[in-house]
Order: sequence, then structure tokens, then C-alpha cells
Amino acid sequence: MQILSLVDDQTVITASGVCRGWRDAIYFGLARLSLSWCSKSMNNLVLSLVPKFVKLQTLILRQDKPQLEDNAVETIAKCCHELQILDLSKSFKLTDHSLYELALGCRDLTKLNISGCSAFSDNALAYLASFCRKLKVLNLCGCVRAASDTALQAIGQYCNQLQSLNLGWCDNVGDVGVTTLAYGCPDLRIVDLCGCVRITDDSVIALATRCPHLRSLGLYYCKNITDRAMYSLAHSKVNNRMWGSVKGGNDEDGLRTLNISQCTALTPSAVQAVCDSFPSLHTCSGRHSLIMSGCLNLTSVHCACAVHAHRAFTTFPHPAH
Amino acid sequence: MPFSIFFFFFFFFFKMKSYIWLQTVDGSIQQVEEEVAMFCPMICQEVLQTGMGSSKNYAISLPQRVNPAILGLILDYCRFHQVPGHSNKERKTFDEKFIRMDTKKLCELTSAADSLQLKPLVDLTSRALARIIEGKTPEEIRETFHLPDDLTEEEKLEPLRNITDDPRIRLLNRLYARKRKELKERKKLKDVEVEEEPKDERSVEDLLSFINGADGDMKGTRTNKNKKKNRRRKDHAKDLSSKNENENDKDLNPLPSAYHNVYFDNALEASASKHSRMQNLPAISFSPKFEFIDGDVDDDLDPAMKEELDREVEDFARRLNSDWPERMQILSLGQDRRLVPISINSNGSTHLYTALAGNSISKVSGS
Repeated sequence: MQILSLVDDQTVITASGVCRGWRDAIYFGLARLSLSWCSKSMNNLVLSLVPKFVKLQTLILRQDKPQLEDNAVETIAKCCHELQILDLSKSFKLTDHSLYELALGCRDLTKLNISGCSAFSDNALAYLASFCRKLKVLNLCGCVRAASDTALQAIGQYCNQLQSLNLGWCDNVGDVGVTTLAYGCPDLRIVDLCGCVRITDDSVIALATRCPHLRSLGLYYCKNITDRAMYSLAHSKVNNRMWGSVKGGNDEDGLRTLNISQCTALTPSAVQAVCDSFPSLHTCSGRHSLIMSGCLNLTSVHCACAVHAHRAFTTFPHPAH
Repeated sequence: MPFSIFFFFFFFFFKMKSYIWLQTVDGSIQQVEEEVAMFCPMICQEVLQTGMGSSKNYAISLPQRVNPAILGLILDYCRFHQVPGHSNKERKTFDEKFIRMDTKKLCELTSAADSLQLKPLVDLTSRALARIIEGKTPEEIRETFHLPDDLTEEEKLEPLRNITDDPRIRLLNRLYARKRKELKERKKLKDVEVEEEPKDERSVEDLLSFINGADGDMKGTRTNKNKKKNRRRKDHAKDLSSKNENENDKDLNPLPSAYHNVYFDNALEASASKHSRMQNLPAISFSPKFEFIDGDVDDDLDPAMKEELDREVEDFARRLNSDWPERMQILSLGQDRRLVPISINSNGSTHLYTALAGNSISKVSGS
């Protein structure tokens, strides 16, 4: 199996047709399979292959053109009970039936990517959350119907181990959902709320106060975010440091990436406070992690290393001057 | 006395160098240097946990998959890799040579290395086997590894069959084989075409004579020069306006800068051409202004001037000959570096334009 882990997935499938020994070894030993290379008959391929690979833990079914249908996901749910990672991104044809089947068949899921699956409803997602309680990474980018406050409340209630959530361009998401999520999932590290235009400072305050391990926060185009949210983030560092001293946390904890592009209501002083609180946030070109494009009033905000560089430049002017 | 010292050191050396005894499945026992044997985690574990391997009677029994021949290979690998001094490049070279063996032996080696928990060797051999398998059809894999053809026709198609029995999927394996055949045939055809390409088989002497103008180029140049000198003398004799004089000077300037660029591009195009006989030769040509024009005769030049011009041309030819080894060296640097036109100035000096393709042109002048 180690040899087959080094070849591409097409070769693995070919190898399963060599002889009985190889076939059995692959059918009962293969843990990871990607069919993203299949551009035409992915649905049929899933229907014929997946029942054989009973020990699959990772299944990647990304598509450029939508091919997967509910019967394929139903087959996955019925055959792959050990599945932990499933990528169904851009499966426009899938309906709620798929999520209901996954909820019943794949309860060990830790990573689920359903970005771009625009047909799913929030009820189906809430149902999935109530069964798949081990979820750590969930990508709902572009799932406009599925990602609502109702669904987020269910996720917050059941998926307490969640560490990463992408809600990009889910414009039905509001403060109620995000706040419940923050309270229910204290281990959240990555939250992407880009394009969630309805959220306000309350969501950011909830995340800042309730999620001490937060490392990355995307607030692109969240126009309702004001300085209050920024000061809350800056202040959360102080609170977390107090907790850290008790729990033995290190000084490198805290935000490492913050995207506040197009958040035009923010002022330089508030953003500078956040930047000063988190040494890992950088505005300097080499390590750009505080992203402020489109905020023309925030050009004066600089990270510590940029300030040091500026000071050094002014202290030792160029010999030509 | 010296003998006893020698004996002491000899004894001390052999006492210090410790060995481990290993027994393979056929019962044969080998004595292996400790540092080499301990490179295998399984042997190391056995020594530390059970204390085995210290003598012939307490030899470490190796797994069934490790036969004497394969053990020899594994020990060679360990001997090289346990020495800390080797660079990454040396290790890589050794590894590449080490895995050059038949598939059967490679499989045995992988299996044995795995049973000895020798991960670096398992990784190395697995990668080699993966390269062998990749892109092959089931039939080719069976052939390579001498595997039994124990699947029914139905079972062979099963991995790539689907509910709707789509023929595209069913025959995917066969399509792969066909595609590979086509590619091989194309490659063969390409190779044949490459062989048929014309090659420049002229000797260095022929090339030298070509460059030195034996083909009549230099004669043409000389005539041009004479004609120009003549024309210049006539121009000086006439009482022209300063504007006209400037224009004449411009005319006499051998290659305007814009012209050089066009010429450089043309030379690059010519040298890039596959079927050009002169592919790797410097393009030696002159400005169209200097082309030989029928009817222009330099008989009216006085003998002294003619002699001076002859001397100049000979001098130029000599310089060209003396530069030849250097120029050949430049040519041998490859196609990236190309020599582009040598032009002759009105004053008889030469401009040799050399360039690295895509970079700025460097100008070497000689007078």
C-alpha cells in the first residue's frame, strides 16, 4: 500500500484490476481516494468504485462541472462508514437528500467541504450537524441557503470540536448564528465571514471573548463592523493572556491573520490597537497578514517591524541626504 | 620492543571494533560491524531489549524475507548511509545507482527493508517501484511483476465499470495502452526526422576560408571601400552646404543603431531556424549600402591609395584569423550565445557584435 500511496489515483484504480492479491489489498487497504481528475463520468465511477473501497477515510470529489448526484452520495454514505474527510465542492446537483444520507452513514466525519453546493437547505445542514458531532473543519462558502442562523445554531449546539468554519458570501448569516457558534465552539481557530454583510460588531465581540484560540478572522466586505469590534479584539488579547498564564499558554497565541478589506467604517486608532496587541499581525510586504485593501483611511496603520524599520531609516538617514 | 607495541595496538583495535552476529532464514550466520547493523531499527531494538547478537551462539534471527543476498544489499546501503560525512548530492547519487536492479530483486529488497523497519530504504525502493507501475495497463503490470492472470474478464473490467456500462469507462485501460503506443510511434517518427536534418559537415579549414572571404565576400568589401573613399574624395572636392555634408556623413556611417537592432533580430531568427546549415556560425555580412554594384570600378584610384587599402584588408583578415580560436570558444558555449554581424566602418575598423540572446548587445571594437 505504501507503493500505491506514491502513485496517482488513476494508477491505483488500474492496479486493482491486475490480480486478485492486488485487488484485495487495494479494496481493503486504500484509505485515500481522489476522483477529481475524472471530468465526465464521476458519478458512475463513484457508483462502481466506492462500494469496493470499504476502508476509505478520505474521499475527494471536487468538480469543475457538476457531475455528482444524490445516488452517488447515498452510495458513499452506505459503504464508507469510516470516512473522515469528504470534499463535495461545486456539486450543484446535490439536494438535501445527500446531507440526510451522510448524516446517517458517515458519523465520523471531521472535515466536510460542501462549498458551492447551493441547493442544500439550512434544515438539512442542521440535521447533518446533529449527527456528525466530530466535525472540525466545515467549508460552507457560497452555501447561501444552507448557512443561516438556524443552521449555525445547530452547529454551535452539536459540533463543539469545530476549529475551522468558512462562511464566505453566506449573506443570510446574522449575529444570532455567529454568537451561538462562538459560545458553542470555543476551539474555533479559523473563521471566514467574508461577504456576510448582515453581521455587526456583536459577532466579532462574541468570537473575541469566547474563542481564545482564534488565529484567523476574515471580515472582508463586512461594512457594519466598527471600532467597537476592533477594540474588543485588542482587549481579548489581554484576557487571553491572563488565561494563558493559568493554563500555560505562550505569547505567540492570538490572531495571525485579519482581513478587514472594505470595512470602511474603521478608524486607524482602533485597527492600530489590534495590530499592537497581536505581534503576529503584519502590514509589511514580506509577511502581509493584516489585510486592509480598500480602506484608504487606514494607510497610517503599521505593524511593529514596519515602525522599527521606519525609525531606523529616520535615525540613520541615507548618506546622500 | 616495537613488535610488542604493534601487537598491543593490533589487539586493542580489534578489541575495540565490536561486531553483531546475524542469522538469515537459511541458517547462515554473518558477522557485521555494530554501527552498520544498528542502522536497522529492528536489529537495534533486538540488541537493546534482548542483548542478542553479541556472539555466534546468540545470533539475531532475521525475518524470513531477509535472505543472504538481500542482506548483503541492505548492509551496503547501511554502510554508506551511516557515515555522517556524505553530502546530499553524494547520497542521492548512491541511491540512484543502488536501485538500478531488476524488478524482482527490487520487490524483495522492499519487503526485506520493511521487515527490518529500515524506513529510508523502504521509501527509496517504494518510489522506484511506483515509477515502474505508473502509467502502465494491468497487462503491462502483470508482465513486469510476473503476476498471475487470475481475474476473470468481468473482474478485470470491474474497477472501471459503472452502472450504465459506459464504454468509455469500460475501455479506459485499453485506451491508455493505445495512447501510449501512438506516442511511442510519434516519438520514433520524430527521431527519424531529426536524423534526416541536414548537418554542417564542413571542416574547420573550409569554415575559416569562408569567414576570411575566400568566397569573394572580401573582394566585394574592398571594392565597396574603394568606392566609398572615392566618393568621399569627390564630396570633399565639391563645395556643399554643411547640411549636405552632414547627410553624407550619415550615409557613410556603416550601420545606424536602428539598423543594428533589426539585423540582430534577423540573426537570432536565422540561428534559431532548425534547417539552417549555418545554425551555429556567426552571421558575417555587411550593410546593404556596401553591396557590390556592377559597373563600379576602382581603376581610377592612384596606386598608393590602392596599396594602402590592400594592406588594411590584409590586416583585417589577419586579425580575424587570430581571433578565430576565441570565436570558436564562444560558439561552443552553446546556442544561447550568438555572434551577430561584423560590420566594417568607413575608417576600416570593425565592430563585432556579440550577444546573449535576450540580453544587451556588447560591442567589441578593433581598428
